Amino acid sequence: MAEKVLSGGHVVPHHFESAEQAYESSKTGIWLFLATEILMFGGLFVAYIMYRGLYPATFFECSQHLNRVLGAVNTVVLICSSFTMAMAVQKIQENKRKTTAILLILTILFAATFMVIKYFEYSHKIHEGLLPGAHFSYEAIKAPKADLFFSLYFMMTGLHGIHVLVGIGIIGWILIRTQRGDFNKQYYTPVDLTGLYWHLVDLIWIYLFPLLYLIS
Amino acid sequence: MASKNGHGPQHTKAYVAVWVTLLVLTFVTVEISYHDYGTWNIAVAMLIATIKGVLVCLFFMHLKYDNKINQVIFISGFVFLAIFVALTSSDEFNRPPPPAVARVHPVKAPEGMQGAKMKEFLPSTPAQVAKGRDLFQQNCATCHGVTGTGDGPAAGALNPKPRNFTNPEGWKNGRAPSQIFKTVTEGIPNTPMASFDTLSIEDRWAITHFVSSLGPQPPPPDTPQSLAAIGIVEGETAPAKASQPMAILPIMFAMERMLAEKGK
Repeated sequence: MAEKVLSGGHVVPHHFESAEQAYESSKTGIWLFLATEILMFGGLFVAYIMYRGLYPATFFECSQHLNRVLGAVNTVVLICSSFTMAMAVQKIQENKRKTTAILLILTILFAATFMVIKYFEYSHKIHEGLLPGAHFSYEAIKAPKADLFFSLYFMMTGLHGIHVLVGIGIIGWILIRTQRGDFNKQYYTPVDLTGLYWHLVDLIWIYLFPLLYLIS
Repeated sequence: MASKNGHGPQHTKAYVAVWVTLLVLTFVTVEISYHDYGTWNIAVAMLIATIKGVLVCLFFMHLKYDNKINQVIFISGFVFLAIFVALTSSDEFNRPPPPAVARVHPVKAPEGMQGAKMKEFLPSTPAQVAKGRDLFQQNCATCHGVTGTGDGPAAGALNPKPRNFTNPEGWKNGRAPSQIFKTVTEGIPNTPMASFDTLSIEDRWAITHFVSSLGPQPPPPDTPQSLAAIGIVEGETAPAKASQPMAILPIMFAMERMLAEKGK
């Protein structure tokens, strides 16, 4: 069977009937992966819901110790990164390679900003003795089981942070490929899929932020 | 490959609109969090988060224009998550509050070591061992562990460490049943091993026989001295004393009162 070569130069793998099918399959594949991510973070959210239900006073008091402003800034940063990512996917479909590359760079910069702010938040908390486990030494919280809240805080934001780091790596790789000329309006699937992953990372933070930082 | 839906500049407008909406909603949700609206706070916060999420899904992630199968896949993730939350909540939030770590029994005057019951329960029986196993879980396992190996959840904080009953070494009062009974009744002074004389004589013997069964068999035999130490003297049965007045407020009694007050 002859290989299908698109006008932009991309070769459609021979096990697909058409470029269209390849694109749709890839997207469905990513959506399946995203569904598993929902369940993975979902497990942590369930733990959060249960323990918040059992110890509402503790969760309220501990949440006051999180920096609401930094959390809000991080939320804004991720929303902007999602916007630039969506625009990157849009622009590559218009064959605007340079613009795409700039937008991908901006996305990475936003993501890096998020991690820097996270770094400051974490180091401040660890310095105060809020890292659960053997070193938990923060005295000032009256409510019982404060370390439970902080276990969830570090676990959930930490797992999310790892996803951000991985995202930075993937977007960086897509950026390199964009500069290499691998993508165009005929074939931009990896950019699209990376975008989907990145929006999921944003989506998870959209829920993490109010649940951890905005308990009233 | 032509893109399926003719993506073109019209998406840019949508993206910008969604972006601005997301920023506005973020501002709103933060602002609301500074005010107290009771349970409305969490409801509104989640509503706003969901609106934001839906916008991200429909527009940034193109779910609005996408193949139905992808919509189904993504929604189903949330459906299963909802089931997960519902079932877990229905269990978790319908349980009675957890008991305090210290289990306290209704306080009776301590039975000490007097009466016919002392001789009646002295020999070990399978029934006593079985009863002792249950009592051990309630009264002893917190420190001594469910298997009596000295590794209960509270053990880490104790000095000296709780006895490992499967190990014949180191028993302060000895391993003969009468010696175990004495330890259960009196505790060991200056250690975390408390006196359990608020348990009935029958209960203490049951625990004794269970604990004895954990170590290498057969256990060392009772001697006249060890029996005398718990009030069993050959040929005599000391009469059971009537309820003794409590000269000192027992710790268990005080704890029970504290817990009862806390529970209100």
